[in-house]
Amino acid sequence: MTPAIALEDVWARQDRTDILKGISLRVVPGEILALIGPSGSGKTTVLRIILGLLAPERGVVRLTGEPVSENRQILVPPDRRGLAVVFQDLALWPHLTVEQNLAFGLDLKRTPRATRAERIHHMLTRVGLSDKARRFPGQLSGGERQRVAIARALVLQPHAVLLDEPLTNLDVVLRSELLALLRSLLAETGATALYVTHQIHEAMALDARIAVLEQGRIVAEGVPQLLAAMPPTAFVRALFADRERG
Amino acid sequence: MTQWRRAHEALLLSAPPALLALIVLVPVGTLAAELALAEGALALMGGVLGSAGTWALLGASTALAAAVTGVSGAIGVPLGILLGRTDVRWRGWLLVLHALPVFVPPFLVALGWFHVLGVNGYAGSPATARLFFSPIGLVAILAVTFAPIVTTLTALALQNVDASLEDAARVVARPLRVMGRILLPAVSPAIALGLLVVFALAFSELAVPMFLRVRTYPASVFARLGGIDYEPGEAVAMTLPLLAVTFALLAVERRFVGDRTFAVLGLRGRERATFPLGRWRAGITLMCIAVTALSLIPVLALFMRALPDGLAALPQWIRSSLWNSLITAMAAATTIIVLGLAAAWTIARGHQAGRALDATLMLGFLTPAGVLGVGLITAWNHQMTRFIYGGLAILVLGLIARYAVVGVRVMATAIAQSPRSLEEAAAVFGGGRIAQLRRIVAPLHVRGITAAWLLTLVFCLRDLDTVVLFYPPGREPLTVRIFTLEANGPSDVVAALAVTQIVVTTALLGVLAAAATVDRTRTS
Repeated sequence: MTPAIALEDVWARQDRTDILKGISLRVVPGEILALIGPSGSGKTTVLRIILGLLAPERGVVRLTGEPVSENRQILVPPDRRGLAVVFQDLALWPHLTVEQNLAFGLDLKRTPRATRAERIHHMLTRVGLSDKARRFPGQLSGGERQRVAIARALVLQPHAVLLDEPLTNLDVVLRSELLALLRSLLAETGATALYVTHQIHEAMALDARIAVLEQGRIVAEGVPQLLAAMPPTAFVRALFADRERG
Repeated sequence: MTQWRRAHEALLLSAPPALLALIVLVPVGTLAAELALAEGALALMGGVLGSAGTWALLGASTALAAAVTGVSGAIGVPLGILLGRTDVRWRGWLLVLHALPVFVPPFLVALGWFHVLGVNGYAGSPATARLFFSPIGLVAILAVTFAPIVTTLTALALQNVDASLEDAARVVARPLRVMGRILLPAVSPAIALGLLVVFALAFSELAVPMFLRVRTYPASVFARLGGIDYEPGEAVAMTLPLLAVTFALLAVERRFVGDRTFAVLGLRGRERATFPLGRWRAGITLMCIAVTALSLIPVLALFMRALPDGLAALPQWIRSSLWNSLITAMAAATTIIVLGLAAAWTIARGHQAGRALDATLMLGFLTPAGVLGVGLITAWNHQMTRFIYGGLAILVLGLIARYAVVGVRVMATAIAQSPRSLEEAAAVFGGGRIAQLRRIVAPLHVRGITAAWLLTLVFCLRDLDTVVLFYPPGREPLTVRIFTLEANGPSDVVAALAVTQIVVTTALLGVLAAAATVDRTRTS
């Protein structure tokens, strides 16, 4: 099967330091891949390269088989990649209402007005914010903003959605509630997802396959049970030990 | 997006900033070419540069500007700390009142002090007059006028330091140590910018030294463009050392300031916990009031001198000068904002092209007004461009060349405060760069853009040194009208004209303050 997202020997440099050292990854359509790694391991860089916000120093990025970035070149700009993103800081546009935040991408894709309204309404209902469509992000709680960010990404019906530690700074209850919502939305839309996190339990709650990134290299890949049984590095061992401690 | 569309978009985004850069570069470039290529220029330059008097005057001017910078820093940094972060009483009002002289031409401040310290002034005597009409008087007047630049930048930057940096330090250190070891180093780019701007303005100042009869290099250049020393060729030759000073200043700015101020300056300071002064509070408050009074005394003196006859005679003396000022300043400020928005965005996001553009615009500001003026005359005073040189358009071009950096920097500072991910999200969701600029950056920063426009307008309105060199006959702005009338016009009328300038500026600053305090819930 042609992977929805594929990275082939991708390198990235910043300030004369290699951030990524030849990583290769494949995410098949409809799959959720959790990219786990400690702070500074290069997770966000991987995401920015897939999005087309950063060109790889070396290597190829393919989306549904087509090369989109290659050896310092961005072949397809971010807006033509059919991707959606939830950033760590959510990046909700503060001058636009919830509804306008969701409409932005649809508007630029020239979605007919009726379809646009219907999709926004449906998505806001799914995330439980249909009564807050006219609010500005500054008038919402932390959990509500998180929901808007997820809704804004999925309303576009993207090929794949990329999530960069979207649940950081939320309490445990809210986090598990949002993980359940995200899982059901991804299943509903059938979107491929790359979920960047440093929390193993988030990956497991999403039933995701896991890739572990350490110091710019993929050091392990597989289902959680396999990695737990045979942890290849101290970091992976610590991840699952933390999980067991609760 | 097709290749064609992307090329079209790139052109639309790069053409306005390029035009802005061109407006700055044309006078400086033409002047440099004139110096290098004009017939007899080498001989003339040899004569000017071979004269010991030239270098002595240049050295004296540099020393005066350095003294003004030193005194401004000595006043501005401590006062910025006190008004920015301590619990001095009425610190908000004191900061606003202290800052007023920055927004009026320094010449008017000097005129106000003349009515206080001159022989016939309200507190004058032969001794005060002697001191006033001396290099010491010049340094004092300019330092009092420009110190608020350092004060304001220091205070604003201190209010914008990342709270977590400060909180982490306050857990382990006493307030004074936190201020000295954490906060002041963090805001040092803003202080450096303040000092650099003061040096550039003091070095460039034309009217105050002429009024106080202190010989300076820029005033000598001006004298060769009119009056008894008329020698335009020599004026052009004399600008060569000034160009060298300009590039030295630009190098210092790039090395110590550059885009680092964006991280520490916000358009509006946030309220933070203040450092308590304890039993020193009353005494320090009184000291701050005394320093602020230095800003207000000349303004009050002008008001008193203007009343009642000066104000009554105002309509017959003001002619079209206020209109000329307003129309040219508004045209220049609007052009700067319209052409500069894309530039500000590029600068705020630290792109290579943005840095080059920022340096170009800074060049226009750091170039002494006299050099810029001579450059504009050299570039535009031709038969083919008579339609520009003969009308208000030349004033607009001059103001844009000098003050483009003000508007663009303020917009860039505002844009830099918002996370880059807001634009990246728009890019991922289908917005090209024009859509990002039009639908995200511009509406998100509408208050910052308005503030930039108003601040640029105020700077254009206060200008005298640039436009005095090439204003078209009968079309002089208000500042020039005051300057030329001062020599032989009725002093109460001159004071009334100065009061008009101050009132108009204060009204605009009031609008600026109102814009800054509008409810921010939408962008919180």
